[in-house]
Amino acid sequence: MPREIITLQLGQCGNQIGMEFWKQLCAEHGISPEGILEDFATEGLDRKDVFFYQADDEHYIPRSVLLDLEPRVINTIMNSPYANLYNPENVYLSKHGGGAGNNWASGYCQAEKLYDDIFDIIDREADGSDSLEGFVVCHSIAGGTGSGMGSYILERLNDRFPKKLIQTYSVFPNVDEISDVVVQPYNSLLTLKRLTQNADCVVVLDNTALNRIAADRLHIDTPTFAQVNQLVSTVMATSTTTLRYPGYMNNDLIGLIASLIPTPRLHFLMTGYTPLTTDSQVANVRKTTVLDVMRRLLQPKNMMVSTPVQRQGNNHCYISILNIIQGEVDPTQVHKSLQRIRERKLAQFIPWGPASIQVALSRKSPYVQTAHRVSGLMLANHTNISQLFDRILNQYDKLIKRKAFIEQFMKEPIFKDSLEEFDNSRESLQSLIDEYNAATKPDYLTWGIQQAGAL
Amino acid sequence: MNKLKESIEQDTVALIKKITGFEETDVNFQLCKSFADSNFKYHRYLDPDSHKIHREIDGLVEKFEIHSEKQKADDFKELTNSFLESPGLGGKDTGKSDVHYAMLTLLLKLSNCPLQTDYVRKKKTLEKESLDQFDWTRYLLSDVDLNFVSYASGSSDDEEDFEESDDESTSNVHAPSEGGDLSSSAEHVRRDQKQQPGSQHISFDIDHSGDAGLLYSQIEKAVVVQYWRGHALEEEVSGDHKSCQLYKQWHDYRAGQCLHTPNCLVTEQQVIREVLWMLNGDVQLFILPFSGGKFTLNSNVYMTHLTTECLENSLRPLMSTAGQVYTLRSFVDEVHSQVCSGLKSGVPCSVPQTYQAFASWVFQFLTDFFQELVKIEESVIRQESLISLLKLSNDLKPWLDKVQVVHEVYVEGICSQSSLVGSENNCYKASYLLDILYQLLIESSLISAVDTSKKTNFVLEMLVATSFPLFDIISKWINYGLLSDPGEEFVVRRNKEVTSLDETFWERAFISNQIHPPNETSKSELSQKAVNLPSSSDITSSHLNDSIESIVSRGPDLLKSILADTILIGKSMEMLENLGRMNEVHEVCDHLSHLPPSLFDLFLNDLKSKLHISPTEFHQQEETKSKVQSRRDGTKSLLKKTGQHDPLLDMYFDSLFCKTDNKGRKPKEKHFESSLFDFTPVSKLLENCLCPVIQARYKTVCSKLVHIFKVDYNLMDCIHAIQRYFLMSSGEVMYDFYTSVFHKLQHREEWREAEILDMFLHDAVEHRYPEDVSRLSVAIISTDTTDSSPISLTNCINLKYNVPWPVNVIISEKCQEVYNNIFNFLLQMKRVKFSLDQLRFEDVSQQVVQNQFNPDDDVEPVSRECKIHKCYLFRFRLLYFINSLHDYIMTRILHSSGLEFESQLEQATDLEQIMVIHGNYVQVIHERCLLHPRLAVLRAFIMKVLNLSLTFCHMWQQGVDFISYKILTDMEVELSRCIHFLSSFLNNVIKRGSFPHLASLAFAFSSSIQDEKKLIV
Repeated sequence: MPREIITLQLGQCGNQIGMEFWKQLCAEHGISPEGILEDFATEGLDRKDVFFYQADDEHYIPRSVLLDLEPRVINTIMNSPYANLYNPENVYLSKHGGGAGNNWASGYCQAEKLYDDIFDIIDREADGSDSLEGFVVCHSIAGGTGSGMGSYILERLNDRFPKKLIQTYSVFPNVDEISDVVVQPYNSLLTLKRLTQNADCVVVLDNTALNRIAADRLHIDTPTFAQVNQLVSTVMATSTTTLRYPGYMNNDLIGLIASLIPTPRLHFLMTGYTPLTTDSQVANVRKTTVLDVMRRLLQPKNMMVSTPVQRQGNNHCYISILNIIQGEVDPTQVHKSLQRIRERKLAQFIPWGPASIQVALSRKSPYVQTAHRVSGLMLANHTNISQLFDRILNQYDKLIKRKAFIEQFMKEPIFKDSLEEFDNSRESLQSLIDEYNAATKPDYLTWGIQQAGAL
Repeated sequence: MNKLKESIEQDTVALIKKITGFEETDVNFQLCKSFADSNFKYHRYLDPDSHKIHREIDGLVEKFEIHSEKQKADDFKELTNSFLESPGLGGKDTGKSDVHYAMLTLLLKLSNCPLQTDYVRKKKTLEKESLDQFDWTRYLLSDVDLNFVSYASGSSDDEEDFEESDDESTSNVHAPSEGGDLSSSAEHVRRDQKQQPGSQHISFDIDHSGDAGLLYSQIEKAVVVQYWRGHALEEEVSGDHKSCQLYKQWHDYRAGQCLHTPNCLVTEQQVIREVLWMLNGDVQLFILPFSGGKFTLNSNVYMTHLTTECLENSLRPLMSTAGQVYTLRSFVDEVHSQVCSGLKSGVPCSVPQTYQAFASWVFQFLTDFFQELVKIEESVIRQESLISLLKLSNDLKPWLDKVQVVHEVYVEGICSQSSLVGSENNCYKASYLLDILYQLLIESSLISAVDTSKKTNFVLEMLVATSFPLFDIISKWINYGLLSDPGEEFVVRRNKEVTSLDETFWERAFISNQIHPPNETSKSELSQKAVNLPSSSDITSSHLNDSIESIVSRGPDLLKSILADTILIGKSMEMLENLGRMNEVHEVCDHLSHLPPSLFDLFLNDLKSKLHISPTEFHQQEETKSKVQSRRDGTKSLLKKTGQHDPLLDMYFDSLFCKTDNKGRKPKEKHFESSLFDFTPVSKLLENCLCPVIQARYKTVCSKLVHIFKVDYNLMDCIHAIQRYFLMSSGEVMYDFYTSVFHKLQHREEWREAEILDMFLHDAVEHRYPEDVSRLSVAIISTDTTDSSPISLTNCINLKYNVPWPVNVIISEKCQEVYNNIFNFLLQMKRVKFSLDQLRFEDVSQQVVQNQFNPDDDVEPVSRECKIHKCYLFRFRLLYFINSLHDYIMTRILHSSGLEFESQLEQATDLEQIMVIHGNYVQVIHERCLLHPRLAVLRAFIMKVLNLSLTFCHMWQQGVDFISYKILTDMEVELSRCIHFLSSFLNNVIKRGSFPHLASLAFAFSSSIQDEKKLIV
């Protein structure tokens, strides 16, 4: 009775990182690109059935739904060695193949029309699982398909599977490439409203930070999509590692997430990963003790969100932290390190609640050789994430002031009557930012009263 | 020649006639004559050796002097000298011719008892003259040419005359040459002569005539004066020596004063013989009567030359020794008779084998001793050397010491404890005896440097011999897995109630033979109660350890160093046998011989090599071989008699006797050895000899067993399974089980049925571990109904994992019970965590707003908003608490303890260790999961929080409108209080340093308190 998780890959970006994710999982579980278990992996103690199911012919098939409105990326996948991995029935390409044209509204409305087709697939997958834990959605919030269709699907998933968990891996746009898609702020804003209201947990993958990390930490001048996506897939794979390798600790997604999220809306998580390597890079000459790993995870430069985590002045702080430590680790060491970190106050925590650092230990895949004895992923709920939203909000404000490109959105049915949706979204985002800011203060405990009083 | 022939012709004829009584016409006469003639003509007699004669004369002179007859000596010297100086014999002018010597020889030979003669000066002068002038010169001068003529021819008449004139009473040719007065036979003869004055002739004649005489003399020898009837007469006994009369004179003087006088006269010879008999263990003695286990001196007995007191003093050590010998002998007899009766009746005899071995050894020792006594007695009878009481006791001194030692051992080791508590307990008896021996050995080795008696070796020998049965038992046990201990004298015995396939086999299969001293028993019971009292599930391993330790501590000192290992090996052997894997530990020795080397054998070899007895030295001891042989044969036959025929034992005794003889014979080596004892304490030495042997076996057997357990019986798999199910090590399996249960709980459906739970469990398990499905089962046990808190709902779930034999020896029912306790605790924790995790933000606010809840733009009553927010944050705090606890228990405790446990398990060398390690592991996790009674307070508070959490979850499910603000605040206060308490409690505990592992939990709690303080400030 595995706690199955269904992955939805939406849009260009979603499918790309999804593909990397499945590659990574296949490698870690010893599954060949055709979905057949490698000979060396038959005796594993890992849990493949969370993300895969076995077809009658013993093939391992990802519980994955591939959706896109244009065929380019999916065709690439279908021409790759991993073509036979996926269930072809789960690959849905929009018939006209025109894409969403970086338009959230287009994506949203096309998804609305394709509702039956899409949810046929999703329902079938959900019915095929014994005890569905939830959905993982991979998408970007800047484009058209990922953001628009994603938003729609999030809303509908919430309706159809109210008790199921929805976790998203949302790629935030690169600030440096704002010019590529000028309507990014619109798309982001509109998506963020759904992410706030309809998702249970959002793992923020900031393209800006990813590129920065690729450049600074991995010394790649012009990081390719593949390289950046590999970072993303590493994060995704690691964050699910406790689900896939049974141990004393967390066995379900909800257990992972629940302790990180204090209130319904404060569910945007930053990630950090160390030590970072790519395939091209040879073994690092660093020592990796548990304490080193845990300390480095707290350093801003390893964060995959491009916000200054510990900038002086504002009181942004950690709400909660979950460290997933991989490798052969002595739990005693972990607890000692944890104590050290707390004593030295290496991390600034919220003033109104416990300094919640949790550590989950997990095994490493025996089939993937890594140069490091210990590696760690941090999932952190940090109030500083609001700055990211702030930036989006500012950009949106600038755009909306001039009503720039608004006509493209007006074409779609949802904005036909009014632009109220924009305002709603903005308000939603603003209150999110406010709540994050409020959470930095000790009086957050009585925040609800003040809020009500102010109104 | 003719002339000569003629001159002796007549004499010859006369001689023949005289002797044989044949007539000249008789044919026989002619034969005799021709025989005599040929003898005269052709037979040569050796010339007397002048040196010898001189020596003899000197000796006689000395003898006279010794006997205070200076006058006689001087006279004798003078006379012989003057005789030798006198010329004229043998036709020569000078003295000291061959003829002189020949004459003198003859005379000396004839005068066998010069001391007996009452020689007076008057006669002496006459004799001198007669010697010189008349008899000898005249007679011999007439036979100038016949200097080679034998005494036979010339002796007949003249000699007789001479003798008669010279000595009145002697002429007893047969009397022993020396010490005649001491010999009873001589006395007897003399007495006869006195009583029948004419008998000398008869005896003389008969003596010459052959058989009849021999017989008579034998009778004479055999007949002893009946001193025990007071027949001995002073005159007969008292010697001529002045000193011999000392007591008599004194006594005579005293007699005048009418004091009590002993009326039974004995000679020293008689006393000595009786002493020898006494030492032999004879009890029907006259001089030394036996009464009440003691020999005393018959007060009626007196000697002429010693006062009674003096006699008694000199006899006292001998008497006491004799008493000891008697005791020992009766001990040996008793043991033998018991053994024999045991053999006959087929009932295993009650005498411990150790006693038997000791008795055999004592028997052997006594046999040696008696042989020595017999030797002495023989020499006494032979009367070839002087043996006095003093000499006797000096000669016997080393033996007496040995007897003393043996007796001491007997008294202390066997007699003294027979009255004690465990007198019916053979084990106690055996180990007590060995302990005494061992103590003695250590004591004697300490003084071995200054102690010239070879006591150390002697005791060592005794110890080694006595310990044989135990060694034999051990050897059989560890080599064949057979604990053949008919006398039940080994420290443990097989508990018949426990079958081999029982899971308590290891603990209970072998139980102590020892009788607990009463106070100790109560103490251990108390301690056991103390263990039992707080929690019904006591940890077995500690108890197990205790008992083995106590067994070892009460075992014989000699074996102390090896006993623990031995018991281990023994158990392991039986285990192996039950597993049918016995042959694997035998295979090494199989191709060498049919038998693995016995422990005793190895021990002795080692001991020998440690004592530096090299084989070459054996060869130097060829001379002792015969003696050794006899002892060895004796021992062997003894062993055969007792039904213990063992080639190894024979080998042992062979070597042992060689060894002991070596020791005795070579002072140099002895010295070396004693110096060795100086440097190495003997206890250490023995330990060094024993331990490696046992260790080697230990390695073979125990590691094999451990290997079998680990490899063939999948010990690790079982442990992992236990960890998986009871400790939820591999989360997902049990996760599936408990979430199903929790869902039922949440929906208030009926779940308390074993079938449902079984189904859940099997569903969860069969996917991953289908092989475990049949082994796992769930039972619902009735729990304490008074505890109605929601958290204790799940306590009734009792998991059961059927551990296959033989692994269930390690993972016993008791262990499972402890595991179950932990499991229940984990289940409670998981339930709370699960409930909190499942809380959805929508649920708390859904009732009123119904899916349109949006705090930003809804104008709700303040209290409601506030309440919802409060609920969120309270959930967060509870989550933090439960996560910290969960984290702590699952990783810090279960995970790391599990890792420690496994690494320890890797290093374990025997099953016992594995069990102890496992026991400790269970204990540790039990304690660290806060289930230890000492942490009951802590646990109570944690339970409070868990209950609080469950209540809160329930309220959350119903929605915020059902939560009153006051209740919420109360809960918050309650939580803070609990956390405060826990934090300070834990910090105190950590400061004391008693539970270092709690640090992280304490820290987690206190960090949340710090935040609270911040809030309050």
